Amino acid sequence: MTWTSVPSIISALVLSLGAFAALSWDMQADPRRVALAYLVAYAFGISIPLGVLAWSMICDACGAVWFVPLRRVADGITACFPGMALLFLPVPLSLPLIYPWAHHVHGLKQGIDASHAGYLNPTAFTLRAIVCFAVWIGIAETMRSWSLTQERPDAPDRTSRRRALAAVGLLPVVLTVTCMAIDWYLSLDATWFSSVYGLLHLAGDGSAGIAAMVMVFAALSPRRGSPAGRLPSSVGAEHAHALGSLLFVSVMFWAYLSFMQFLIIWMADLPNEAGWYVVRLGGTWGWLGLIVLAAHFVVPFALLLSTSVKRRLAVLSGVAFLVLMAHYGDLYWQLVPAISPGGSSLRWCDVAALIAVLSGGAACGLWRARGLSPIPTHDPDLAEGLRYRSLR
Amino acid sequence: MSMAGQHAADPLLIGTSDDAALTQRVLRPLWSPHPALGWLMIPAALGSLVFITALCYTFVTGIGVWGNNIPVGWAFAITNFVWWIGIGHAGTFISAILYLLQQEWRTSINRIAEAMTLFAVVNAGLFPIAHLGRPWFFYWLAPYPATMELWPQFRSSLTWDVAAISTYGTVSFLFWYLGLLPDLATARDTAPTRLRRRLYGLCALGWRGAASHWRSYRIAYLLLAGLATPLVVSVHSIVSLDFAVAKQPGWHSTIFPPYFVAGAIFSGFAMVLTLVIPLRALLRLQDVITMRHIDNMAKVLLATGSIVAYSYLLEPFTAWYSGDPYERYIQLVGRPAGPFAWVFWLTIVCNVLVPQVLWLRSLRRNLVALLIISLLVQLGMWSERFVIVVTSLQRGALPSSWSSYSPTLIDACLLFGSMSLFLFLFLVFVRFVPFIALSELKLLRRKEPVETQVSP
Repeated sequence: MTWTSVPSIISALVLSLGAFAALSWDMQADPRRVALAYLVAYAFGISIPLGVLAWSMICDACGAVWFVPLRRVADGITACFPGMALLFLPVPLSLPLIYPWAHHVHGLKQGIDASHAGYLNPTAFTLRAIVCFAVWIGIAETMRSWSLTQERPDAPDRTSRRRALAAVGLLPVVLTVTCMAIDWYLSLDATWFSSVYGLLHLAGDGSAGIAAMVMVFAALSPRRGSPAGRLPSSVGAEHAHALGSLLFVSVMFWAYLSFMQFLIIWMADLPNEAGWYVVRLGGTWGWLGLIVLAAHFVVPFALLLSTSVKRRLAVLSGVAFLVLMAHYGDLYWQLVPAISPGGSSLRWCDVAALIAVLSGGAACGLWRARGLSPIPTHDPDLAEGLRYRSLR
Repeated sequence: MSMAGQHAADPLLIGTSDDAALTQRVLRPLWSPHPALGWLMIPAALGSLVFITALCYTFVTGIGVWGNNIPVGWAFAITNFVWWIGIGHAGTFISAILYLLQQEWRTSINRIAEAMTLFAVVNAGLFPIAHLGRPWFFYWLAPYPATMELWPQFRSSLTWDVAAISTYGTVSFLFWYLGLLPDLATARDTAPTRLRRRLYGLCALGWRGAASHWRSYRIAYLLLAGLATPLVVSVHSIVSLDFAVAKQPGWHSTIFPPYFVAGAIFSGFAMVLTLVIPLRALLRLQDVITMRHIDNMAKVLLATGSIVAYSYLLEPFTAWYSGDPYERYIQLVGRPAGPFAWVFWLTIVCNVLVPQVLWLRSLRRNLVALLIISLLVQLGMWSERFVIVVTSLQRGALPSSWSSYSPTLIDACLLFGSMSLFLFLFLVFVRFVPFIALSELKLLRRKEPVETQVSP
């Protein structure tokens, strides 16, 4: 059974539906907590295709040939966007449960003034979410279809178009991710704000995206006796090294922005800004914060300094898994204290929500990857991409 | 990471037959200098004299000769400082980060950019020292074992600045000089007179080009590139903290560190273009600094300019979103409609609108247009720092203390004088130092034979 066979797609779908059933049952006990658990899981799920989209656009815009053999892996992950758009639906439906501004009276009490309400209201929230998905799906699908067109031997070369779209499209992608970060996550806290939050979120998405690419790359790497649907053996240590370097850059960029945001807010010590950290650095949240710091930066940084870690796909995918877990922990640490400032343990609804979102997204990605070669066979840059040697 | 060769039309090096010809080609300006460079040195030297005179006048009289007042205690001096240190970022970005990213187009321009960085850091460092009022006590900023137990205030980002900039200056110098060693040795071996052979030989520190030399050199270069890379980010982040940790309206914003770093690389690349375009034409370097270099630099200008534009958008939005009346005032009224509104709008035009024309390939390859754009970007980046420094101090959180500000003649002399000093140092560099990384070009010629041996 290959990854994209019908039974594996159906099992992913059944898993997702089962998890949704469990969530709706749990919804009766504690609707706020379940809604928030779903938001955290969704934030984690959407960050993976977003991170992959951003990195593949950067690589295309810069003309990075080493990325070409991995293009189908990247396109395969960004092909999940339509499914992810469908999976977003529960979020706008549960707005009054978790967002202070959606609960009008409650929101005004927390100091939201009239002009603020012009930005944060259910209609505007939904409209902006539609624009975000339109941009992501539009760009990802266009780039994917141009790449797939090239599979036909007589097809025209779409490389320069793809590179142009990658460059031009980066600004709308960055702006929509910023908009998403402010609307979906930052506005959970009625009074907190931070101008770098969108960029910081993008850095987290970038780490998650590259980590996910490493893991898919490892899953598709050639093994004895199962050549069908796998990457050729010429895609190996050199490409793992390049991906490992991007993971290294991503975790550093995330740590840099996180620390700068913390330092600036901590030094100024203003009540409406520092309050966000006071909640998240005290009690059990403080411990989770330290674990996230270690797993999202300190440990991956120390490991990825080594060339041999970056070149061994099995070890690198272990680091990638750690970063992915840490990214979920980071989102949990950022979002859950908004309704449970005193601390909260991981609940079954968190696990169910994670399964619902991830297997739902995966089902979409696997369905769309049916019958596709794992490398872009007719891409004009493929030969050069396979010859790539990293700096040692 | 590595460049796509297929879709970039221009080569990195045009039509050089062998290493000897390349050596002769690149070192020619050292042995038979272009007379125009000598003539240019005269106004640059006179301007530098103006700078030194204005500095001496300031030291003797006190910084009261500047336009600074209370509350505008930081004005031209800090604006100039941030502007120069920003310009100094392109050098290390090109040398270190582009090296680690295997961007081979950096080779022809890295030496020029590194030298530019050093001279920009020299200029930048002078302004805070002059601003001390009693510059002879500047060493008090360093943590040294003083008998009076005088110790810097480590909680102030201004003391972090001292450490960040002196580290940056030191590493940039080491990186520049290390890269220069093989070329100084080539200059020693090809110099026409005995005196020059002696002088270049002294500077080459005994480089013989042995395999063991090259091995150590490669390792040291890679390590220094790794060390210099975080510095590119840290220096301007710390400069931004001079503002961001304070509670002054318009300064306290968490996006400042990445925004300042992007702005620094933006202005630095603009300065590289400003220097390279005339130099390339004057010394006929078109075969070494090709249109591919120019085009790539223009693209970096566009990318960093767009990041700066993103920050310009996020700052007023966050001010509005925060609901803080002082932040809202400075971002939505104080800057766009306040006393220096014209400087604010000049910034927007130069930094946001002008670089966006670089989406057009034809403009990226139009040297006159690029030179004008790069000058406008530098004007815009100076204006940006002026707006940040002066308007926020003028319109603080205590409206009874709001004031006006106007610079003096000495302020103007210091700004234009520092530009002259920069130009003077750069011209001296071009006259006496191999300003194109010759040994790396030779390596490049072997690496990319298909691309490099295209006849002109």
